[in-house]
Amino acid sequence: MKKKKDIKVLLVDDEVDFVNTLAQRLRMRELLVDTVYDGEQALSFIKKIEPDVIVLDLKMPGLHGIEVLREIKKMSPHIQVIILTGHGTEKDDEEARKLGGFDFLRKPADIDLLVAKIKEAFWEKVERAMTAIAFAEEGDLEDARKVIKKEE
Amino acid sequence: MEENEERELRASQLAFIGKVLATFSHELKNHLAIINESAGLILDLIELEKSPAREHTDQYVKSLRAIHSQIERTLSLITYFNRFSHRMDSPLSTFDVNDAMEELFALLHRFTNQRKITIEKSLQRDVPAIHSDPARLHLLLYCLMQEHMGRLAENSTIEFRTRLSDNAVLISIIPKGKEPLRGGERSGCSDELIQGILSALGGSLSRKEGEETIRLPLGASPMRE
Repeated sequence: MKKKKDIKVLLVDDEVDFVNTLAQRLRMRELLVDTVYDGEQALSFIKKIEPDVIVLDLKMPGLHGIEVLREIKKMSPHIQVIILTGHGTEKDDEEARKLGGFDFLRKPADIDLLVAKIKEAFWEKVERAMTAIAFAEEGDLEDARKVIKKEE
Repeated sequence: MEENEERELRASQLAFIGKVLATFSHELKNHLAIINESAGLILDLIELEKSPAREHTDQYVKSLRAIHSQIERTLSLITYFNRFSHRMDSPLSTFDVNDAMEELFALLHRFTNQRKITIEKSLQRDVPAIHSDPARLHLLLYCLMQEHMGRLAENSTIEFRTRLSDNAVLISIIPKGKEPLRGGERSGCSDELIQGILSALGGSLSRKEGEETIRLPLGASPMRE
């Protein structure tokens, strides 16, 4: 079984002090955490190292978080994305979920809640991967693809 | 300046103020988030190294928990403030009347508290959203609240009720308390202003035995796009 320490998390936020402190607290809770400070950096990062879960801010210089989420889901639909924002409107929440975002949290989120959401997102990803493998083994690649992309 | 130009200028000013307030509250949330995480990290480190030999540990933990609790309190207010600011983003939007009322009461809490007036809420939870101007509704409620507060003695209550009736959301404002002897003086907004807001909202106001009821139709209002 995968240990907590093996769950790879990428934090994306332009508030450097916030993201670095949060990363340290998450590492103390045995998560494997990397940090980047804007959307472009996040997209370059996931081309090299694929995290299990991305915790993504919305209002950042350059690409807006919603655009980053859209790109992530195009590039790697199986990566789970949790929005963590100080700004989020109900419209953003709705849009993020429509694009496949796992959850929408508002800053500052309780650390235990955030850890729980990260774990929940990770295990959902694992479960989907196993379902997709089962479909693929039966030769049903179309359904396997749909499961990965969270399509009905 | 032509009346239309004046109206356009006012709308732009309102949108501008809304933008500034929303940006400001967003910034505050970010600052609070940093304070919160920093206090949280210190707490984590203290908990990690906790031992009976360490002096003052309990005091540190208590102070850090107080920081957390104040952050939560401030954050809840900022969230209301942020929503309030976004109400001015565009003249028309689809919104829940109860939510708009909750945020107004939260933001005016200190104002009502200073006058020792309690705001009581009996909000019907399932009223449908309306398509109208929430910033104008805020102003209307503020005008009516101010009027009652000017008349009521300290330690009185103003009850706000919402309910759905005949394809309209009804907001009733019910003063509960004694009117002071000096009563009768007018405070709040002019009748013309109140009527102007009501007409822009496509609503109406009825008064009966000291109670007021605002009627906001679910259907088309004069301002509907």
